[in-house]
Amino acid sequence: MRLFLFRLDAEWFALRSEHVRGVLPRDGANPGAARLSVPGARSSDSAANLIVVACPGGAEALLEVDGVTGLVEVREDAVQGVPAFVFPEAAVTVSGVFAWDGALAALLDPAGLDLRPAPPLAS
Amino acid sequence: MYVTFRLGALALAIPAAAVDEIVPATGVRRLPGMAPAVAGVMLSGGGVLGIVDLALLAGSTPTDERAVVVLAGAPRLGLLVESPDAVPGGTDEAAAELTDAPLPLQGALRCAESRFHRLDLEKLRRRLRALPAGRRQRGGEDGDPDSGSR
Repeated sequence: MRLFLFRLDAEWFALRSEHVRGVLPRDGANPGAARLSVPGARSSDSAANLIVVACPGGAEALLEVDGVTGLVEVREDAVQGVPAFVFPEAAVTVSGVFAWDGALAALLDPAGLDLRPAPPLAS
Repeated sequence: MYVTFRLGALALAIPAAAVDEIVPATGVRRLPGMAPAVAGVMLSGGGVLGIVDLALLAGSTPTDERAVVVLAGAPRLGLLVESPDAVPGGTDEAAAELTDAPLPLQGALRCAESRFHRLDLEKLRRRLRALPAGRRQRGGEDGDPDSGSR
């Protein structure tokens, strides 16, 4: 499967390629665009890029990340499920993990990310 | 043979037959949205292991120097503990005075000058299954809590 790999708060994360529409420089986005954040992850002071994420329902929102590796190919069976007791909440943020560069990368489910909608346009 | 470890002032023991291995607590990956008593996940034996922080589960203060006791059986589970060791065995003792202990205990074991409380692994697993019951998956799909994956 094709995954979009990036770093956030010194950890590896990934999204399925179909959930990523593009990458923008940090200052290259509309400041009024909807934003995403990873629940429980510390926000980064050094975010270098914004990933344009396709959210459920077709809308797009931006996720700040520290560094982008880009598209990588990962075997389907390399992504393993996480034991159910690890997550107590209904909104599942991590749909699996896989080994990457000597560490574990977390595959994110866009539906589990926190969405801060775009502010209404000023009249 | 028993594997022993500490939880603050409490000395605990589990049968060595219930343990696959003891590994350093390096490579434990924290994940967003984890249950409070979960330390993270790690790769072990070709699979993903959920790591439970016994100190957090018991409401005590965790220390820095700990190791992961990997339990045999499913779901794959590791216990983050202090000072793991092994003792050859000992004499069974009752431990009625710890009925309100923060972890499920099942009697005690005396070995030489030391006394260890037996950690009841079955009850511990049941407690873990009960923590997120019915809320862990979207769309009301509870699934099998022992399945080890979503």
